[in-house]
Amino acid sequence: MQALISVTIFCDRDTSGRFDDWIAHLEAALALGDFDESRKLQLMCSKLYGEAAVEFDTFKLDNPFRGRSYTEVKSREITLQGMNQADLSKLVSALRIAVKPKPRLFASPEGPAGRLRKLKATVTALVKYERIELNYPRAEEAQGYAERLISDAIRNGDCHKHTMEMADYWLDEKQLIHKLFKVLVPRYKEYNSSYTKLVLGPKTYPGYYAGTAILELKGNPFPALQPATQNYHYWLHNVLLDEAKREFRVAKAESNTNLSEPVASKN
Amino acid sequence: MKNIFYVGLAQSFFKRNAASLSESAVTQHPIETSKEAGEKSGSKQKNGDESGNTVVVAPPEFRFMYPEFLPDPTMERRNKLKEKLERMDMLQRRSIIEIPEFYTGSIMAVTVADSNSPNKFACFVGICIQRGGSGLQAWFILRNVVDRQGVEILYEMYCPLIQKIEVLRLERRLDESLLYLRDALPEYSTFPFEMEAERRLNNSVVPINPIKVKLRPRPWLERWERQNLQGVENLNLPQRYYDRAKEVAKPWEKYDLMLQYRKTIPAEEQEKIYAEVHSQLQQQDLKRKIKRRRGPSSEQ
Repeated sequence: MQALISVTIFCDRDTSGRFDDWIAHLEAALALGDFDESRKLQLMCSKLYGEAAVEFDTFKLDNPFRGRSYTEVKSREITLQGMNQADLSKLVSALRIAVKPKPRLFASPEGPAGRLRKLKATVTALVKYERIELNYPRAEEAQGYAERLISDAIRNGDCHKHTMEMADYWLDEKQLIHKLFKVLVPRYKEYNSSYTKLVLGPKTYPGYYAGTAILELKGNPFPALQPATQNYHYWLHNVLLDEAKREFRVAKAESNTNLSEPVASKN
Repeated sequence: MKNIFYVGLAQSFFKRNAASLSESAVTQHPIETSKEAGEKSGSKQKNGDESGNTVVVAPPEFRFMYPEFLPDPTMERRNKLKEKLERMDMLQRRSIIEIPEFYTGSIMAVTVADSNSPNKFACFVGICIQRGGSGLQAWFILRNVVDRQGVEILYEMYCPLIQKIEVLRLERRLDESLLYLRDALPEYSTFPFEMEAERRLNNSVVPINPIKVKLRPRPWLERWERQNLQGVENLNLPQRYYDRAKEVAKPWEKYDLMLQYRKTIPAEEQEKIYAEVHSQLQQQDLKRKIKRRRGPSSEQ
């Protein structure tokens, strides 16, 4: 359990390399109970003292500890930062779409900036046309960003500085910012589901390996892509099938009771 | 030496009730407590919903006071059952030991059970330069300068060896991580071991210390000019450093909405977690306050 609490000793650069400061270093290590560190120091001091006993006022050592221990500390910090604490600076709404743990990287000559630029164009087009057909990977990524933008707009409204900055970045045409806050926010305020819908599109040969997709904002004025689900419970063939299933179950139950009581008379 | 530190201490106050913060102030502080937080639930304990059943809601500042209750946002590591069990264990530990509210920049004293030391306890006082981890692995690092030797100790908050965590001065700084104190002049990290707890006049406000720290001459441990630090004085570097920092910077990350989403827990989930946990925390807090008030009176 002692391993849980770790001690890091930093040598101040100005004061290192002189004999009396090694003593201070040793005392500090002993006071803190770090015996490994103090043993190392004692060994170094005895070596140096033996060789440099006469010259201890003038010898200067390149402090070996600082460089080495900092890389250890930094690597430990990096592993610790693997155990993350949630970022509290922004409050975000939960998205109602399936979010993958890792983002898709889109290759671009501009690198990651180019990726966001392309997605920006897609999100702008989605807000402008409300239904767009494009390749599936870009559509899936853009869906996340569009949902985030709309959810932020609903949560914070148009007087919120950060939301306005995001809308300004993500929507290339400035009249679409008005559309976002004046049209889309009132449309989606009462929604309990996601605001966009992603439908797989045709995958024609030769074409792109992932196929196309149609990304649309819900509540758009166009005719529906997929037929609305109809209530098929009372269709004739379903009624007849249900009845047949019921009869089968009843007959099976009766035959089971007959098997268990062969002697019992049937009336 | 220490006078430099105290003379520069001008108090600017940060109201917990977020509704009073202006928009311009929001962008300066690393923590955004815009009016949304004030609009949302306020500091009401119970809100009625339409059906008339009471809905328990924790005050919005809980996420700053107890950030380790939120799980690790990495999606591959989320597990609702594990998180719930961890929260139960955390509350259990908190019922035994008081783990006070603290922030990066607060000065704290920690006593640890140590079998090797002569009086079986080891005490350390320092400024909290960083905190992190979630759940039972929540940790913080305290820094102090002892006999001209900079020392940092990482403590895991829920470690059973810890006997006492006391906040001697509760305040915040302009940055979330004060790692630059390693390259700063030693007086900014020096705090006496005999320091006593300071009493705050105004309990509803956590002061922000706007101190700007002076760094030692280069070389430094990290490239501080690339980190957008608010709490450091002008670094006075040659222009090529800033030019290179601009080349290497990733300004698009500020706009990456999905990156932000993957680094944080959504508000609805946060509300659920704190609603679950806040009544117990408040009870524990109340019991300790009563004990403290009864303590001196019972001695008489």
